[in-house]
Amino acid sequence: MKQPENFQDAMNRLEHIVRRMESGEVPLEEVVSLYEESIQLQKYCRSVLDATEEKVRILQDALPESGGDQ
Amino acid sequence: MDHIYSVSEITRNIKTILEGRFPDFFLEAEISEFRRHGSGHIYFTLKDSEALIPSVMWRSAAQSLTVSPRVGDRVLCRGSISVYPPQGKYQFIAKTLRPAGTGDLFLAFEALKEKLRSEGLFDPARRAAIPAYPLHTAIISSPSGAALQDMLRVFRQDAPHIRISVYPARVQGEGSARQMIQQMQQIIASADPPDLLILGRGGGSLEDLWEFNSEDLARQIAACPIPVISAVGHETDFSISDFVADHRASTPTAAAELCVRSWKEVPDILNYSESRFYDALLRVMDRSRRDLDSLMQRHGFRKHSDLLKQQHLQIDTLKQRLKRAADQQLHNTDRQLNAILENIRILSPNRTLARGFAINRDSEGRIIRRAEQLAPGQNLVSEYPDGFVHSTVDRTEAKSDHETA
Repeated sequence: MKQPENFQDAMNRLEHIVRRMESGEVPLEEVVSLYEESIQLQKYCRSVLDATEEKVRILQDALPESGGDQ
Repeated sequence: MDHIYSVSEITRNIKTILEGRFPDFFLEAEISEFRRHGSGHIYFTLKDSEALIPSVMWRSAAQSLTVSPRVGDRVLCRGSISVYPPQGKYQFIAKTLRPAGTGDLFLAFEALKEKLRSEGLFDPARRAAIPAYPLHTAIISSPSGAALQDMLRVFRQDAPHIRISVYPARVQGEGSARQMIQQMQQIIASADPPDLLILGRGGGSLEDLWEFNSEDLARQIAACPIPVISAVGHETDFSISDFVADHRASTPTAAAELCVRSWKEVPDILNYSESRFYDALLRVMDRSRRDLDSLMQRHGFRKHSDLLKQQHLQIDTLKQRLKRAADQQLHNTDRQLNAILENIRILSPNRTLARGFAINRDSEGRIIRRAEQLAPGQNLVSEYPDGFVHSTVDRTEAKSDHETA
């Protein structure tokens, strides 16, 4: 099972898996691996959402005379 | 003096001369009558102390009108003269209209807009798509402005996992376009470039927002390899940066909301795909069991056939593997997942409905999941949060493989 390249990729892959399952054409042999992959993808997606470190940085020294209204 | 004209002929001549002489000009006047027709066209009269001229703005131009003119307003229009032979009338066809008094700035604005447009800088094909799931967004704005705080509030509330890099710049007054350009160049050259760039400030007068009409800034935006959202808050005017950016947001808050929109739906999508997966899984298991049953009937006399044994074995192995996989994956998050599953059962259909989806059922109450389940003439019942809609299928159409993948 390959790692998703990015979040969009993971969401696309997850949708693809669910559609394959819904098509009813997945051989029994493949069901388990699809199940495992979908769990991994969901974990990955939730982990991206749950990241909570400090996310805002202001590059204050970039322009020292910055100011102005609005 | 010996030529005798017909009415049509003289009118045709007048039309050619008038329309040829006044194809494009500015007209400053007071509005004395104003009527917006149901078709979307606007009929009005422009006058000064000694004359008046019937005027019309066609729907296509009226749609992009950003002010609501009223009788008595002084306005500056740009347009042409048109002669209407059946009524022997000439009228002014307005292409643009705005409050008078902004004359010089307006002319400069229009001239620059026309120049950049003719170079193709506003071409929709040039616009980059705004990523649905940005993980790192850069903001160029005034660090002391309300606009920045408005944007940060949206990100904090709805998508706190998005990284934000704020590049401070003055957003008003001489030299602020220069600062914004410098900051864009820094962002482009940065070792850790963002997925998206927002150029934002709050509302103001045409004069306040003037730096966003800088030609250099417009060219920098056009050349930016990172998608740019122009978020200059104003009710009445577009700025040049709005036209050249990949996306125009009406306010900084709207720009931030666009960035978090897809993210907000992710938990629902994940929960929904989980329940879809389990539904499908149950159907697959059910089908396998039925296949096995029918096999057993056909081979009723040969209970020890190898094929049958293999099928039994395969199902048992799969059951064990599935159970092992499930145990393994679910062990740590057992309660959490159960809670999620419970939520899906109780809430998911309602939530899904509230988000604008409808549940479609056929006449026997079966849920329609795929277009191929339907055929023209079949009856459908769609469930919405507040009721049901009965309808009949006109036409069905399959997606190509490319779209469904």
